[in-house]
Amino acid sequence: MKPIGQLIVMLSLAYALGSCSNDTTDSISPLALFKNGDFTTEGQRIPIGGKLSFGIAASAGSAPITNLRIQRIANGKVITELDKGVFITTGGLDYVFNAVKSGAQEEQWRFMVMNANRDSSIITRTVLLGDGSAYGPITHYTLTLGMQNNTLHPNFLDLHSGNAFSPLSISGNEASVDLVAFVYETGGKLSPTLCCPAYTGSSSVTTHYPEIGTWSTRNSTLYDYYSADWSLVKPDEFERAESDSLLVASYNPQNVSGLCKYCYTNKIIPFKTENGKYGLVKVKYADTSKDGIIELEVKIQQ
Amino acid sequence: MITLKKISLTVTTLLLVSVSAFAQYKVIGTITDTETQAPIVGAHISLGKSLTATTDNGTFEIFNVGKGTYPVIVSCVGYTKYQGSVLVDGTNQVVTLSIQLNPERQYIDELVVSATRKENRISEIPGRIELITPEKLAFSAAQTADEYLALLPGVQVSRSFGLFSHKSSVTMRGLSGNEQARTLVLLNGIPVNKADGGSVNWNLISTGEIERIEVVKGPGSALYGGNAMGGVVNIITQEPTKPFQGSVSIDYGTYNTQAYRAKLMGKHSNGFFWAANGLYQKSDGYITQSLADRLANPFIVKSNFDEKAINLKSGFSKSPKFKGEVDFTYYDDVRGTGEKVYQPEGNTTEHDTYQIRATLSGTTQNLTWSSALFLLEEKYKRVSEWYKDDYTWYDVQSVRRDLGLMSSASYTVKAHTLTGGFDIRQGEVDAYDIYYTSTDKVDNKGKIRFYGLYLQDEISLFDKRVTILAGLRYDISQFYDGAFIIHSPSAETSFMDQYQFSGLADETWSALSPRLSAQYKPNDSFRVYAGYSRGFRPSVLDDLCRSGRVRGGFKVANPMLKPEYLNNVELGADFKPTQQIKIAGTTFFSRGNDFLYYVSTGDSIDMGFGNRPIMVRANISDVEIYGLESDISYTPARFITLFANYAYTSAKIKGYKPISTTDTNNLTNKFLSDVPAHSFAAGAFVKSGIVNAGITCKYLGQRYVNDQNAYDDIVLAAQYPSAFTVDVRLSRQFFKHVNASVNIQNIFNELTYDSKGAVSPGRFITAQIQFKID
Repeated sequence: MKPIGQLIVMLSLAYALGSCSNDTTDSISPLALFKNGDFTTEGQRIPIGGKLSFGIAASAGSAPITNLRIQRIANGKVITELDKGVFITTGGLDYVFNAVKSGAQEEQWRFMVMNANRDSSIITRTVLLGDGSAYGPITHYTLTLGMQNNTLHPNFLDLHSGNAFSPLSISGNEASVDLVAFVYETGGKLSPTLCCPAYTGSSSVTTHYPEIGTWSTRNSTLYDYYSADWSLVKPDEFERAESDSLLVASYNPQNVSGLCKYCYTNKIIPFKTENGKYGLVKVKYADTSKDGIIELEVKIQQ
Repeated sequence: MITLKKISLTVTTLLLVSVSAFAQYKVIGTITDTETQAPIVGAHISLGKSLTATTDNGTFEIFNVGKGTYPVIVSCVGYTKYQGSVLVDGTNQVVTLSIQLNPERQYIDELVVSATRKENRISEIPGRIELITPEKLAFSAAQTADEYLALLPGVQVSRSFGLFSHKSSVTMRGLSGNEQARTLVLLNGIPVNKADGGSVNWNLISTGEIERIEVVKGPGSALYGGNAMGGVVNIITQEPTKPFQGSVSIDYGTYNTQAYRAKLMGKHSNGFFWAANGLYQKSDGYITQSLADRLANPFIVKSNFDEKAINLKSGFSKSPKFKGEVDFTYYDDVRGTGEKVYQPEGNTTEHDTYQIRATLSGTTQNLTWSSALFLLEEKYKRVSEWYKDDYTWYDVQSVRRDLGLMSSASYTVKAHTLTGGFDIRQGEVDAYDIYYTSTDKVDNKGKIRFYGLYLQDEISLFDKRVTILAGLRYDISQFYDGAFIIHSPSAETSFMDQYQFSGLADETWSALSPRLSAQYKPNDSFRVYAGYSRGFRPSVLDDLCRSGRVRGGFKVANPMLKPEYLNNVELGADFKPTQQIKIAGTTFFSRGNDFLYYVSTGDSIDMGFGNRPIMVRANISDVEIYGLESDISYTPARFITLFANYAYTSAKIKGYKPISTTDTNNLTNKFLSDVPAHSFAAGAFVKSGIVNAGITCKYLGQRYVNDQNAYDDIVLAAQYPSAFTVDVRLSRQFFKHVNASVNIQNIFNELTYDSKGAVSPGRFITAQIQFKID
């Protein structure tokens, strides 16, 4: 068993025994803790644009863990960075969350773990603003992908490297794919759509790329469709972005999904990959046919 | 000289004489058809003051009969009455009779109770009444109570998945196919529509208990108040006729569907009766989702079900002068809805239902009265889980409670039969959506109370050749304690935050529902009637106090909703050119106002997956409905019945009132959704010594998917395609106590799809073995 697992087991046992001595509650709440390791510490000073990293471990209590919520409280505003539904019955929760320091002097990060009995455990960590700026370099590239029936262009994209794969070359590279594109009819319109391998549901990626259903690793990329719908990132801002500051600032985690519809020509979509990298993708051109193409310009944190 | 021996002999003789004078004998017999020799079921026998009826094998028994000569009268609908006598002379303990009845080939003019809240013959009511007789029930291949109604002209049953549907609705005469609240459904005269959504849990009513179904078409609000806007369906259950009787049956069918039923009942000569019915039914089910959904969603599983029910009834009824009855039903089901991620049963709906009723009725000279108390409590739970960007799991838990008092009294004086009474009903809902994968909890609750007072005069003139029916009912509805509150909102529900409410002032509405109809019936072969009636339907609690997701967007609660109204005029006639043929026709015209629709407010909201329109239920339109219903039945011989019917309906929105300046919709002249312009049904029932057979077919014409009459993304058309299905039922009795039957529904496997692209079960075959106990 990994050390973190042993820690969780010991803590759970201690908690359970401690609870038993109180002899009052029938249900045991989850227990959340910060992991040790290369993570942001309490009160640490991080410059604007600097990397924040939090490791959370939690035991379930007397019901499976069903919710992990991470909130950033800064300048009187509460932003939910992550509100994720899970179903963890054994082994506990082990999660690493990466973010970027904002310009606020003080940020309080609140981590809540809830189980199926709606019992919860909350831990917090405060991060302070350090000197200088730590906005980092970006990777910038342009490429063309094929829609689901297009066999002339690659269909699967690794956003971090810009490498694109076709069905013939994907074997062994499935775990690096972050983005696929397809066209389907929705709301009475043909929609060029950006998606990710992990997305399921009635508009699931496997409808259009059945082979993805056999992949053992399916990455989740979250697109900020709200910002995209309302054109909150201006084209000239996108053109001028040379560090990751715009990429981070334009991503609003409260309106995100692994499916982004209506990605017509000139749309700019903020996104965040499963690895925690922020980026912007501009649709330079998009067909509305299933054998068409989509030309993308991508800027992503290195 | 008087000796002890003489005294003993005298006493003994006296005792023997008295014993023989007061000895109790039994009269048994068989009633059969002179033509087919088949036993006649349900024939009424009176022997002196004793009354009974024949059982499933045409036999009867009368106990505790003293010596003497008794008049015997045997009557049965469709047969000439028999009159004779029997001598019980004490020679034998049991006297056996064998009586044959001659078929009377004329249209069956049954008694119904629903049309006037008292017994009346169908031909004497100036209106369109349909009766599903025990024969039609026995020969139809229906699996559920509502499916029997699909064979009636102008009646539409929306049950997309057969036995696997957790909801169904029955509507008629052009009113939308998905609004059960516009048709009142009664079970033995007591309403079963829930105030929460106006819906009826049709699965709660076991087909094995049904004796007959009465359907009154057109607004029935003059007698029954709200929900009776389109018509009334009254399901009458069986009653015991023997000291001990019953049956046990086992069914097996498609998709590993199994049913186990037991029915025991008895009626004693002192008037006490009892009945106990039990049902357990389950099925492995099938996959309802479309191929595209199956490819897209790895969590799709079969939609299955598991249900159980028990009904206990007890009462007293020695004569029509007084009857009292208490009835208890418990029903519990779990129905899978075809998706499973982590939860043990996946997505399911559950109904945990209790129903208690107490009825009293009686007659004294010219007065007939009845009253009933009822309570229906349903604990509904829906488990919803799915996986898109991440895992979502939430439950809907709702307690729906309906209770009330209904009363009626009829008094006949000369040509007038006055019927009046009052009804009090209360419906309430206390529901919440509880999320397990986020912190949200959404409460919605509300109550609605109804008071109704009614009076009706039925006037028979010229030796019943002219009948006039005039009625009026006044109803008051009161909505109160409504609330919609969100606790600990996250992104799942925060978009509903602005629509919370509680502590509103009570809302009260009232409705006056008149009715006037007249009939001219010069003889038993012809009648013509005309009538006007007005119906209304108050809003349901779901529209008054719940905001949430609906298909196509988000709907906002509207506690200010008013009732919708329908004025109806109709003209009908029945004609019997021969004793074997009956033709019936009705034409009707209805104008509705303040009809309730979901309409876009013009605003939109991000529900977590992009903007969706915000809709609200509003009283926004006038509708115009007109149509024609025709029906023909032909009984060429006693053992065969043929029928066919056709209905045409036009239902359009005539006056659409936008609710805001940003509402760009205009529904004027659009057709109401889910209303077929054309429908027909036909069938043949054949009785024979080899096998009894029933074959029926139904055609349902195209129907618009939405009220905009616009192209639908999932149906891929503006209208659902038409559908034609054929059902067959075969049955045969073996060894007196065993009955075997086979039901084949949709024999040609015609598949239909609902608005979400889910598919019907297709051909569905069940076989049953039944063992009778008597």
